[in-house]
Amino acid sequence: MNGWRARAAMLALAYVAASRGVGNLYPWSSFEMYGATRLTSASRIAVRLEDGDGQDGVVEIERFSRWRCAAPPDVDPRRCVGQWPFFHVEARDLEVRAHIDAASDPGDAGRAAVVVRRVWRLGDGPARAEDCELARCEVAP
Amino acid sequence: MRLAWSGGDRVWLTRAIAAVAIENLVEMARAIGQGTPTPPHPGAPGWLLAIAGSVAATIGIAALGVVAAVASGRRDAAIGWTSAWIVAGAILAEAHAALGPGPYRGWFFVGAVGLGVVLGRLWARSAARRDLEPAAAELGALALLSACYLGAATSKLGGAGAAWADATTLRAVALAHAHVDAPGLSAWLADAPRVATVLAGATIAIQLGAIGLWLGPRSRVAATVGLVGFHVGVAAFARIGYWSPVVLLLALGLPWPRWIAALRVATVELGETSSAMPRADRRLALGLGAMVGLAWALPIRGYTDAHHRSRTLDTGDTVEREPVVAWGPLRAGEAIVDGWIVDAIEREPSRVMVVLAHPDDGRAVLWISAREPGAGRGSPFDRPGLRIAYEGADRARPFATAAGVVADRLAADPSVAASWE
Repeated sequence: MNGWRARAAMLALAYVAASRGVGNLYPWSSFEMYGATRLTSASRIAVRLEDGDGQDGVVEIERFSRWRCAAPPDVDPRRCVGQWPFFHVEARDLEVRAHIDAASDPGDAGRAAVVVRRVWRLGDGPARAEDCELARCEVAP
Repeated sequence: MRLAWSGGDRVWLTRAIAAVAIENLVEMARAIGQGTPTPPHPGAPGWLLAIAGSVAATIGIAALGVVAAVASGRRDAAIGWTSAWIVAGAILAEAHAALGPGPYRGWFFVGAVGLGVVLGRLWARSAARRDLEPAAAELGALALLSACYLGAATSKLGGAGAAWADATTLRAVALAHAHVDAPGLSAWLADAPRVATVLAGATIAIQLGAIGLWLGPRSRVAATVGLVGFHVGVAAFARIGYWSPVVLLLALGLPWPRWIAALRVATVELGETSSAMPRADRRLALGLGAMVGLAWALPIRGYTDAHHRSRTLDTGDTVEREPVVAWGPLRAGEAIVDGWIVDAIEREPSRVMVVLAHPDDGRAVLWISAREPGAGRGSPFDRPGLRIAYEGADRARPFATAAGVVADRLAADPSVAASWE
């Protein structure tokens, strides 16, 4: 290795070592996203239409801009006691809640729907999905 | 040493880096202005949250950063301009992180590249070779861009280990982010464990291969193509689009002057052999050593880690959980401080969940487990022998005081440590 490559290596290693020390403090980062542990499950909040549209009857929350729910969906993952624990991305869950909270009322155009948390169990075969009901709502595009 | 911009006018490279910095600064200000649905960092200093809460302060800092970035893109710009936009970026990135969602790593790449530019130029000055500054800046930028990916790879290998490249981890990340009703790549990947294994292994290999960015011209192009492909793949599978590093990779990794004659000029380049500059190298080594030493010596990790509760135990197989009335010094229903009460205590084989509740501010959850001696610094509520990860469910009042009281009481009770045995 010539001197320039050695200098580049020294710079790179120093950045990695410093970042391991501070964690994440701009401009240093250990870029540890999703690296801390092996994941064997996943989850995502979505909506099931009672009249059965969408792939497997479940579609994204964002497909509907108007919402009226009997009670706001509780996105706390421990609400799904039958499935917990599982991997979830808090920011994605809170995006869902913010979308529903900010939505206007569907009026008479609402279709019956159930907000669910879909939980996948992952192994060496295809993913196995289970749904946990979070709220009953009416939705419209 | 032949770099991508050897024989080229590096002012264009400097402008490309400045352009990414400007885009990031504007994006940071916009993200702060929009607010976040997540609870604020329980230990965030007031001044940082005050900046995040002030439109004028946010816009002002972003504007100063943009001015500095524009100035840094001029020919022969002072090092101070690059340093100034890094500082502006640091304040905005940390203010956004303190609002709740934690650090957005897509913004860190250009910060690291800027730091590399500064270090490279300082080295050239230290060697009394200002003629080498542009080339040394390019090498510094390349080195620190590669370090971002080396950090990502070593975090995976040091965290989950080789098991990260198994049939489940990458699928979990993709499924948690992708649209459930999108009949695309993610849905296909969900049912393709072997493909997931290959892609996860390739991810680590490509990230480790980032050292190719500074090994030689061919390895640089190969590493660039691999890393750009990695970012495109992550965007396609998991809807996580990091485009700033893609622009930086394309700017730093491809030999534009070789392809575009208008970019070619007479330049001073880094010699092929090791130009012995022991004094400058000693200063660089001392400076880098000081940087690493400070990073580990300052008590900053407790703060930066608090953005993330430990997800380690959230992700494995289901374990038995038993509600209990009391554990150690805590009893369900008892008042802690400032209106917070212990709402519930539930035991699992290797940890205990303590739910704190407040009549106005909702709930916060503490996950308490044994902490090995010498374990890395974790949340601000960790105590000797105790790992205390947290989840704040609401953004209103910080639960930090109550969590700290609980942590102190647990640490003072010998029956808690005995309960892991």
